[in-house]
Amino acid sequence: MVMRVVALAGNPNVGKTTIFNDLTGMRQHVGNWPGVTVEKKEGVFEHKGERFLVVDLPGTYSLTAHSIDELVARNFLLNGNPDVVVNVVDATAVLRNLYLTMEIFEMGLKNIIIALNKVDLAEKKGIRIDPVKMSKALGVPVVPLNAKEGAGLDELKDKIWEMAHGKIKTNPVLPRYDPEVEREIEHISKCLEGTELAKRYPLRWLAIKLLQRDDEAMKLVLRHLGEDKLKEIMTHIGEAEARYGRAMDLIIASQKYEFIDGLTHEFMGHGKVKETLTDQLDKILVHPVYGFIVMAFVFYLVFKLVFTFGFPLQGILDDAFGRLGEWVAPHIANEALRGLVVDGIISGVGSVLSFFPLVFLLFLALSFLEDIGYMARVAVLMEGILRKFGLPGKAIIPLILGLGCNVPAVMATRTLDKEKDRLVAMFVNPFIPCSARLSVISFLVGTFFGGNALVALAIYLLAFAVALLSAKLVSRFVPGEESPFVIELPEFLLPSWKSLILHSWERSKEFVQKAGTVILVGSIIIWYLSNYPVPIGTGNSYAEKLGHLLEPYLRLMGLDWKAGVSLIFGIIAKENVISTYSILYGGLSGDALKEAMMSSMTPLQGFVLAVVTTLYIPCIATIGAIRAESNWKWALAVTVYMITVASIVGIFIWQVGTALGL
Amino acid sequence: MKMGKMEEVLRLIKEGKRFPGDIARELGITVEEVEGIIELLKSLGYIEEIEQGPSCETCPLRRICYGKCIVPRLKVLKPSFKALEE
Repeated sequence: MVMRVVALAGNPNVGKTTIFNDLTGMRQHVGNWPGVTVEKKEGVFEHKGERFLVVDLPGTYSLTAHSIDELVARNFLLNGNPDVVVNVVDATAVLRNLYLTMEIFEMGLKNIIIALNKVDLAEKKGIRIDPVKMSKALGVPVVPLNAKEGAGLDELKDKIWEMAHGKIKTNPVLPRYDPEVEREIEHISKCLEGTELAKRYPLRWLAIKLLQRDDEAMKLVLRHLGEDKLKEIMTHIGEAEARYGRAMDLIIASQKYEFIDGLTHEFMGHGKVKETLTDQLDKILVHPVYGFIVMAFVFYLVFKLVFTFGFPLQGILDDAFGRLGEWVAPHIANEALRGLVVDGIISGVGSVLSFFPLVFLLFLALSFLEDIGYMARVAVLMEGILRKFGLPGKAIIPLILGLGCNVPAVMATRTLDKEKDRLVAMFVNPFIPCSARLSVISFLVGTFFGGNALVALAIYLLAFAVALLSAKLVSRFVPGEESPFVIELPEFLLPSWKSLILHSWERSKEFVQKAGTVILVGSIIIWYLSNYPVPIGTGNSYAEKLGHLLEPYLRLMGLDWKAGVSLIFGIIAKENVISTYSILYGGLSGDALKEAMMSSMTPLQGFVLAVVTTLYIPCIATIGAIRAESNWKWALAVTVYMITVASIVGIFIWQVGTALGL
Repeated sequence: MKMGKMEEVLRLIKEGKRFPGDIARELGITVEEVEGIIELLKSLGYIEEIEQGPSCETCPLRRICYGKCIVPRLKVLKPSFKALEE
């Protein structure tokens, strides 16, 4: 006996798959729809001794031909001859869901059952739906369901069986449009009357689709009725659109929605809408004043967490690398090779790698804020600020990406519509401290300020302020105008700790990988420059010569030649600033390195170095990304500008700080 | 011909309204309804979602990076070319 076919249609995320699984259990087959890479799920269920084939259609909001999913669902409903169509409707979003229902009704299908899912959630939200009245209003049976619990499933199976055996008569309600639109539908329908297409498709549906300039409907007319007929119809539609001053597809969609809105009043009511936790939190978190206070506090907590738990772990790693150096040293007889391995590679790479716990904790904290939905609130808060400083609001996404790495952040400026917006966003993006700069900031704040989270927060805020002021300045020369967009905030969600830790580990892995490549090569070069042609301390090593070239300029901001060498190598990768210091101090690391630095620098100098490192130049990869996304001139302009700004800020802090006796 | 809620939502987005909450207040409907209408406008090709970052496949750091981009979990949508031509 041939199995009867049940098509399962509905919006995405309405519980369609849960219902499919509930109905079919393990008897499922997954393949592809012919000719496309859209997943096709089929399964079988048995009821009252009869087997039914259930076809799970792709989740869609409408049945236009804009996406392949919509086309697959529409073609199956039109040509697949399903015996029963189960339209899953989310009871918490009836208006949106019934739009698809109306599109199915307009196709002329009669054997339709509405599976009203998530009724329990709707009740919690204060939405009251009377299924009997709903069924009467729509003209088809309505089965309330709670698919997660399996409630209502037996009734659904009964209804499918009854409908498949012709025991239920339906009269699906058809959307009515304004008289003008109805006239247009009638006109197009008349144009198609008596044609080949009229025998194959419901005329009203085809007329509506043509009025909506549906590609597939137009192809049908072209294929079956010829170019002249299509031209005649399209000319008429063009005239109608000119008359109404709007596109017919939008008018029809809008009026269909209004029809549904009117219909729902017959069976749906709203109790007092309960304010969700997300709503309550958002009143504070995106508030123009309280929001910023909370944001500053949250980021202070992030640094506090990173430093409180990160520094002890960093110390352990640092000691481990120190012991590794002590253990390796006696095993290498050659003095030069020993120096390279112990003072160059182990100290250089080790001093950077020891910051792994801090980077991991930063990513853990940021991933947590990202997963619960707080970063989205930060984006919304900052969006308003950006616009005041001449940046398009959409630029907040690349700026937040920059907290991880400036390279993808520069690439993300592609999402901005206008060339001028892209250029400005690219210009200011490298000021956002990436995770590599976090290790340098942590190193210097840990050395000179005992890991005070407020100092780190101040450096980050300063970097953001410089980015905004730069945007204001650059946008004067590269003016752009804001293009419209809309932001939807997610609900607050508790993240899974397992995925959070795994995600943070994946993100931090790059830090380790970089230490084994860029930092390793950098450490070898720095060690060589420090020990040749003569060892460091004589004033004639390459490194000292290089540093002394910059020293007169760096003195203006209180920095010495060692800072000059560190900053030069920091261009390759910012972490090199730490490894350079370690090598320049003869392979010292951990507390020994801190003590050595504190004996030759004041906290003010440490602060200036941290600020200058944060602001002074993009790393090579970021410069390359800016060049790839714009041109060499722009990449050069960004580099020169950043060096200038870092110098001005560095000199200012040093001079003012010195004058104040800091 | 009178504009319906769907057209009004699109108009307000084109006029620069940033958040569904603002649109909801202006039209006297719920935020959920505005978000539902936005989904419908998206399926009609009047609104499109903006990708929030480069895909890892196109990133020059793909060989050494394991996906460390910090992406705020929000949906950013804009009127399509079709909508702006309207």
